[in-house]
Amino acid sequence: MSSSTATSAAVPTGSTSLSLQRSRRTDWLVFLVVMATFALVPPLLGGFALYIATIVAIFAIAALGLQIMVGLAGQLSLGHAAFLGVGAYTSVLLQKLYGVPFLAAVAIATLASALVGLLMGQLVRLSGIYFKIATFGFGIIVYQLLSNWSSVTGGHTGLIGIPPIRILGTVFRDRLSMFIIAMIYLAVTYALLLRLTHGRAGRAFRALGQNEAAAQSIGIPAASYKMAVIAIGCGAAGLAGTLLPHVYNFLNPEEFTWLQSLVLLIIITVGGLGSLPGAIVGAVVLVVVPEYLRAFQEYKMLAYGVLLIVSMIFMPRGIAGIVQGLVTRIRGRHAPAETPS
Amino acid sequence: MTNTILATEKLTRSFGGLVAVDDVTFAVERGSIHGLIGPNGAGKTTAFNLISGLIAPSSGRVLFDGRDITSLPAHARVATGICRTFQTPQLFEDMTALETVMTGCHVKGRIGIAGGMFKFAAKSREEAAIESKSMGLLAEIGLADHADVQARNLSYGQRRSLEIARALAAEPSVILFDEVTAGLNPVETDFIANLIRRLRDTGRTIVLVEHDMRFVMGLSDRVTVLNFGRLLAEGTPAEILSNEQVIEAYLGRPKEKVRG
Amino acid sequence: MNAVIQILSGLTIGCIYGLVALGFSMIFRAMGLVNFAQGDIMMLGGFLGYTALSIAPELPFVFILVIAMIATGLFGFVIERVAYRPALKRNADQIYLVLLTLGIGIVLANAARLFWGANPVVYKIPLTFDIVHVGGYPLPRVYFYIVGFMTLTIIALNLLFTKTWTGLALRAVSQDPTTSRLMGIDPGRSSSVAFVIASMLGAAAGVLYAPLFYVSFDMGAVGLKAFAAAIIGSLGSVFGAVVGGLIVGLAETIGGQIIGTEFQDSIAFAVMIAVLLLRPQGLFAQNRRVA
Repeated sequence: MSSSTATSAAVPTGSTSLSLQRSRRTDWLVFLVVMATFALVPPLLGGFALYIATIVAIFAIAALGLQIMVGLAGQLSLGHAAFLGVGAYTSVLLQKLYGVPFLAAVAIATLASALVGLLMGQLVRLSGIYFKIATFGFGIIVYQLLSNWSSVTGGHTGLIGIPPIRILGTVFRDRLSMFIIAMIYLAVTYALLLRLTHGRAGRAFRALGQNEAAAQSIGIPAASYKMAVIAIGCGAAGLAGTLLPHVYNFLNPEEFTWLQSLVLLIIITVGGLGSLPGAIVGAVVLVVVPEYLRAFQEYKMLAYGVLLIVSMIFMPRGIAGIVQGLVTRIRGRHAPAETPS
Repeated sequence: MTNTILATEKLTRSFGGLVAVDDVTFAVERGSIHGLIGPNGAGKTTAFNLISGLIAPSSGRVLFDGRDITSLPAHARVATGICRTFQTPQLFEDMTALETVMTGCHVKGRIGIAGGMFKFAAKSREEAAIESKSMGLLAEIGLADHADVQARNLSYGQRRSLEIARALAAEPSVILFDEVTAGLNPVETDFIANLIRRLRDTGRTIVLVEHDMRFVMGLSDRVTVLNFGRLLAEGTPAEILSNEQVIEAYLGRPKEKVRG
Repeated sequence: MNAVIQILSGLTIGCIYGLVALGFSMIFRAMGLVNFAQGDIMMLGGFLGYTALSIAPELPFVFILVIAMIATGLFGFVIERVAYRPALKRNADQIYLVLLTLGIGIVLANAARLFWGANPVVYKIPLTFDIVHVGGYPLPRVYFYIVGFMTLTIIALNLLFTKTWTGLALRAVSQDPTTSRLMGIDPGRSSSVAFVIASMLGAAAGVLYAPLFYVSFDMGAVGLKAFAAAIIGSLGSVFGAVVGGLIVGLAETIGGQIIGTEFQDSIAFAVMIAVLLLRPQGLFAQNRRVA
């Protein structure tokens, strides 16, 4: 008598769920559609659109990390912009002061952001509301350090003379190459995080976000997975941050205020909590729309706030939820036609 | 070495001045169904939480397979082979039934965070194995045709079954059931009883913390009775049912009302 | 500058934080909700007081205070009814609720910016410039108003919680919502009461803050430091909120002198993180549930 008989009694081995396979395939299909749209539309529009798309990609990368952290694992961070700042300053200072090559600087800066995230996680090894407010405080502290540690960060005026991106001796500084680099960043981040969600660790994150007690009861070490997801989220933000100064051609702490942290949260909420493509669509909405409504600049934050409240009340699952609902409804309409009774 | 798989030694836990579990020593035999009963407030749930590691004892030890696991946190006990269910099913509401059980396979998996991102062949092999095992478990508890239904859309009885399947996915040698029949109708209760017998017959050890006397007496090989945090009696169901102390504890002295 | 004056000014600003923190704590107690719009409620109170002043410049300060408190209290009542209660009834997720309160905060701040302008406004009343000498120290007269108001608030809240049915119901709901509902306490009514009181306290903080400094649409950030105060003193504790406020006020005034005033906002949160490291539930935790 073996202990595995309980599972093998009625099991045709190798049985799979078609719809699980299908939903994973759909995820990759959506990945292709999103990345293809990014690759085609801005270059066709050209010029300014390339610049905007680059910024969208940067915010999308940070939002993807935040989505894993908040939407999946339920660890709400109210100071996420600070980690963009850590990434941006670390990378620029390494290049400017020590002549570290671009790619190495990016890698170190990403790692540094993840480590600062871990430090925050360890410092505030807290749950629920305490963690949220502590992340908020952490964001303020980082921002104040960036704006006041003038000898290193240039203080409120920030840094100018950002070194151009140089990879293997080639210098990239025109809009198109910036755009292409940002696209590669985004595609890699998106693909890696998508792969992560389709697996054991991704399930553990989701379990943690949905029911921590239950997650622990099946052997998921909640504390370590929380730290891991914080590191991933903050690392992604840091990675996004490394591109920002090269696109803007300057670096100042105003890009990393508590309002920016809010904007990132609004991005993932409007896009749909828990959805990776939702985070990207949310970034498109929150970056592109204000760019074309510059005349109404002073209404921007008001509009963001209204958008947040409206989406919380009328579409709690965000744009991704609406699209998903539409797709299911269309499929539902087709299904009976395929199988006449 | 005896045939004991799980044991407590002088287990004590007090909350403030109240001693919820007081010097309790008992042993669970490998491959048996063991009932843990007692009137309301007898300390059953506390004892259960001490064994599953949700709370730490004030003194005493918990032994698993002869090994002291008193200081292991709850999640680490799952890997050694103890898994539990909750009084009201605690599920991942947005996951499908299949995903829920696949999540239950966590301790048996090897692919970590980096592997999840960077491994290909090994990952797809592990995923396929986990999926196939999980479908098998769903079939065993009668939820195969609900594999793609979200947990939030399942009936109460189905939720209960799903939680059991999720616990089984960790391949525990001891399963702790906390009031597993609470809220179930007689048909569902019968189904669970049969499932528990089947689990025992395949070599697993079951500990039932129960309110439902008929259920626990009909199913258990041995029964431990707690009262006011102390061990009151232990024996076969027949011995327990004829034990005067137990009857008194449950029915109270003639003047008191019937409890439990 | 004189150390005594520094300490007094720290304690006074601490009272302002304490008032906002009290509101924050009360709402948390009654509804388990972390209201991130509480700082913006303070801002709203300050502006409503400003408007009242520009309509009737001769009105005594106390009336301005009362008018702003009543108007903001009504506003809080409406927000609770329209936005929070439906979400709570639906059993919405914590994340969802936090985002909702954040959204309301952003809307309040930016609506105020459209209405009252982007530049800070100052109360043009004699009180703003009124200095009294106590024991040789020149002190703004508002200090005494602030400390007086704080004292009155503590006494009033104590009476409310121990002597009135509403206060007892509030306490019962915060300790055990299910049982209190079974006992006939309407949790909806309790949350209304908590929200109105919290809004009134926030408004008072805004109006009392104005003569010392200014009122501006982005003042919500000042109120946010009150969160640090509420947390330091343990969420939900009335006494803790007041003490937490005083600690934050003192720490940032004294710390600002030592490290540099530009780091003032960081100091409040650094103190909070330090306190949480030592006592994960704040200084005055009573083993209560934490959301």
